[in-house]
Amino acid sequence: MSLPKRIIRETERLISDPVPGITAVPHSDNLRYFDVTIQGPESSPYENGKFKLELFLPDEYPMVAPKVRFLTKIYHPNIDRLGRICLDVLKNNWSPALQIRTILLSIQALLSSPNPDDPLANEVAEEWKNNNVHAIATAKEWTEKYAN
Amino acid sequence: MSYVVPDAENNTDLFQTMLNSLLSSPDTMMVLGGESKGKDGVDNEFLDTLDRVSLKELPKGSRCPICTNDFRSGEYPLVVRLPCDSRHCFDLECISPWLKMNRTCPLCREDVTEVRQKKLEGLVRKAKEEGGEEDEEEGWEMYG
Repeated sequence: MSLPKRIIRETERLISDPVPGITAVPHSDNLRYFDVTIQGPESSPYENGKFKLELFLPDEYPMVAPKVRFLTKIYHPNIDRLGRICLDVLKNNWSPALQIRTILLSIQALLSSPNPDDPLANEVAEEWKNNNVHAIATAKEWTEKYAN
Repeated sequence: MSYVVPDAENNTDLFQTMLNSLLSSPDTMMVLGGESKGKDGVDNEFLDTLDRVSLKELPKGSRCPICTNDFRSGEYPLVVRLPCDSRHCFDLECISPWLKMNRTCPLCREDVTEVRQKKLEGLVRKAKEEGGEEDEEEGWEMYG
């Protein structure tokens, strides 16, 4: 199946006009599979970290959301230990008017504002709510250890 | 009735095929997705009665938010607007598969069936308020 124009256009723009702090590069042998990096946002526990993710565009895209997963280990209440992300726009709130760049921006924003009330990683969320200082220290520690 | 459970190790392909066919069935998708939206998409009649937009009305260079192509690029462009906002325009070809699965506008997430229903109710109410024989006669004159 040939690659839809929309995907080609999105890819070109991701490369020519990248989102600050985000890179997304398609594999040359599979243009639906992207290597992604997201810089940890300033004044978050992920600051100075460089997080690797994988992003895949299913055949049904954009009728369904891209599949995105963290490859770098991260301590975050909405990201589980397999790197799966709990984010509304990747699930029920996907819209075909959203794009790869808007999704990656949302993930970057999720790093700035964790939401422990809608957790995917329950233990992390509990810690985030009950022992916030410790949770943030752990997140910083993991960032230094794994995200560089 | 008894089920023959295939030996998983020797029948991985068969199992995969069965799983795939189950997962790709629209019924399964509705069951799986039921929790999130609780509603499936619109029917064909809804799609057939969407307002069609003439190319003259569209700003130059405007694009379909779904395929991101210029509305004028197709050979036979067929553009429609959703009831939520007159600016929410899409290629019919692009919006149809989405609305068949979801009732929401891709741009504002409004339930398009609810919006249309409310609009119709509003029109009926207005007609009743302004109503009376006078208006009816006036209405007929238009066609006279």
